[in-house]
Amino acid sequence: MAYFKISLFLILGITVCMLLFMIIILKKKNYRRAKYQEWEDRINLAINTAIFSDEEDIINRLISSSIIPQNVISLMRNSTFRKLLTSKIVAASKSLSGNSESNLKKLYVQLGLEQYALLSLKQSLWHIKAKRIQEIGVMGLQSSLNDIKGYLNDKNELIRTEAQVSVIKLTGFSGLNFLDSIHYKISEWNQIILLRELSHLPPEDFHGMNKWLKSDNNSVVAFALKLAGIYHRFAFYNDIEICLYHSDPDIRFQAIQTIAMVYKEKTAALLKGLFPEENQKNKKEIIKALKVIGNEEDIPFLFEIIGNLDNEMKLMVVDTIANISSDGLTDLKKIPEAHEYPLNEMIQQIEYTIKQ
Amino acid sequence: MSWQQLIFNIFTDGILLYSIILLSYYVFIGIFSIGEIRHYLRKNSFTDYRILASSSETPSISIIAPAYNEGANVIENVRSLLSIHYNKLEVLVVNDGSKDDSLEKLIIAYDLIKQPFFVNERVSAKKVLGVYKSQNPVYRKLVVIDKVNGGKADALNAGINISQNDFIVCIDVDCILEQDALLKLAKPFLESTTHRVIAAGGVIRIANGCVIEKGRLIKINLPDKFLPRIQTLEYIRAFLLGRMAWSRLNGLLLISGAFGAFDKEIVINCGGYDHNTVGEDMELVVRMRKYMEERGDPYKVGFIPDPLCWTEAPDTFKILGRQRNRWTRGTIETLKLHRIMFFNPKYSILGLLSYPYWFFFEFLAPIIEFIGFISFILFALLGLTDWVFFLQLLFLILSFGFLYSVFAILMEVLSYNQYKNSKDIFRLVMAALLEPFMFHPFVVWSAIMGNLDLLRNKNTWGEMTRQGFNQPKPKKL
Repeated sequence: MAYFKISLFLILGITVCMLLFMIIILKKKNYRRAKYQEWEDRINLAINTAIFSDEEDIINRLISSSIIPQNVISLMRNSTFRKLLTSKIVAASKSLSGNSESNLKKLYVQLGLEQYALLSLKQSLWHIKAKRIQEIGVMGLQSSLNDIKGYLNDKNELIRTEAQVSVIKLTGFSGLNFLDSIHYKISEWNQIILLRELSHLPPEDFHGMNKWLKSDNNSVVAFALKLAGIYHRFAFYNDIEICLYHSDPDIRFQAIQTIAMVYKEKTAALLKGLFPEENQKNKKEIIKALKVIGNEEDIPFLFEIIGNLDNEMKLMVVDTIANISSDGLTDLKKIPEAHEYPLNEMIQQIEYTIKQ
Repeated sequence: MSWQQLIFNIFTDGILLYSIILLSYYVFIGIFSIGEIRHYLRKNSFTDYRILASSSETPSISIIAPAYNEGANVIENVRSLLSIHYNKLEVLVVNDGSKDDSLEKLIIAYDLIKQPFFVNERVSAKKVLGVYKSQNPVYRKLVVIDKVNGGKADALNAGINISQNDFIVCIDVDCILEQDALLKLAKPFLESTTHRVIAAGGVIRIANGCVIEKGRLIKINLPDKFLPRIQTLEYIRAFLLGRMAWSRLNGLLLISGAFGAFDKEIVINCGGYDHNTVGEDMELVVRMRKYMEERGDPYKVGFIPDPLCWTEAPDTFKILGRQRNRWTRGTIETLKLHRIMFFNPKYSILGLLSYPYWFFFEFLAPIIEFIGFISFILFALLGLTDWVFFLQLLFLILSFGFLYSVFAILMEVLSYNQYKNSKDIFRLVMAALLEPFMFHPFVVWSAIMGNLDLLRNKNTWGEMTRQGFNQPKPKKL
């Protein structure tokens, strides 16, 4: 009985504490929401004015126009205000370029936000550290480059990713050098972020590709293959070709995609040769590649394989035949199977699509 | 000690032990979910999902939305699906032999034309009568499939057969998705470097009371009606606490049929949705997991706490009863189909933890509760009840239930805080107080009826009448 009473009091006590905590949180949130609105209006005005400013001392301009108060530096000690201001400046910088972006960077430095970012870089909480690394990259704080480089191989994936992106922001394509020594796998998500970052830079030559294509880290090889394809690095054709024989089927898959982007005259024959030994997924990719790089000469191969494929691949082959040869479908219709299910329906579908 | 007293003691001690284990589970789930939600929120606090929206490296996704007699709302619902932010997307609307004018309405509204189409029957589905695509390039993502009626699972299978993309997202056509729902749901599939993510789900929220305009959620409100409000609390508890904790353990057995994403290759290898169960959503996830376990491939079923999908909850006891009855039958059918996994170490956490949990605390809980209630009446009539002990125990259980609900509401306030009005939070707390008296007994009763219906071989879906979202003007449901 005593246990029951103790348990009951404990449960009721915790419930009351939770309810009180909830009330405090709600009050605090409501207060902040109202306060934020006031701050947000002021910060938005400051950012808009800074963007179009042609003066070096942006702070003075904002103070003289009473957009920000005289005591802005003391206001900066309020961490909530500072976080809001920083996030607004960083968000605006991400979507701007040229003078406007450079003005925001000046404002950021003149407000002393750089020091706060560097201080919180020493924080032990991973998400704060990652956020600051991102901030440093967006605001282009070159002086912090070496600090960030220390996180390129960090065990926390988010910190690592933000460091990699920031180093690319600060140094361009040469920032990819981290691929030489990265121990961890680069996730698909991470690769998308890196490619997106690189897409903002003017294309230039980058070194290390042959090393990355031979890396022991398969994710580095896959990423290097993507780079070679997107940036049309024809010079690495032979290295890409070697990847077609890689032990990891996912690397071979990527290599098929890439080689179709930097193809040579002999590429189609090479892929046709690999077809019988490949797994289903890679076979599909070879058929897709032939649709792009194939020609009349590949039609006999496609006619040869079509009888032994599953329906999904059969349809892909019909599509490829129709795309690489003007008479392909007419010739296909001459084979007896073309008048039977499923090939007859597939031909009808592809014919209709082409007409459309 | 008399034999009656002995039976009474064994019975009450058994129930007490069961309750202690169940309550311990809730404590564990509550605590375990905190870390997962916090980790997710921190991780995503500065994720820019627009990167995915514009990238050519994103996985291609097919949304499959089965529709049966949805003529009243189908145009707006499809418009809502077409407005979702995602680049490599096709929207497959499967008209499952509707008896109304759904198809005609779609043809006119979206300028559809029937096309010759080879249906690659990779998973079992009834005959496809036609595949329609739009002549208007604005609607190029839309594919409408007209097929012979075969039920939800069959319609989803038909969609799988026709889908062209690598991932499928199965939804109820009348759900309202957040604009960035697919961007958020695609991320778990791209993040893992050690495990293959075979399925992922997100939080489903109750849309009753919200303002919906042209298929879009304009304003979030707590439902005014009592039943949907209680279900709002129930969903917060289940999704924000339960599923987050199970996801952390990689032990999730259920991705809601209202909105879930799947790796199509695995779905096809497993044979697609099972037509013979009314719990096709849970059954598919269990089968996919079983398949991966048997192959020995490392895999994950992901779950994210973002509210991604808004659905209309039943607002009458009649419809709610049908829904809970069906959920019960679906659970039992799935557990029966995959009974080989019960405490089977070959299936690791799936066999040793997830399956036993569902067996003891999802399937058996309402039965034990019901037997407990009947026994209580009997024991009371026989004068065997120790009233002081009983009342203390009852109050303890009720207090714990209330505590767990308050904790869920607190987590909601601390994380997404969808209901910004303090009054709404107060109404949720009140709902938590009333739930054990005005909602829970009915849910238990519906589950008992589900068990009985299953014994009687009744396997109908049960008609789910909904009010619908799309009205000419913005409205409150």
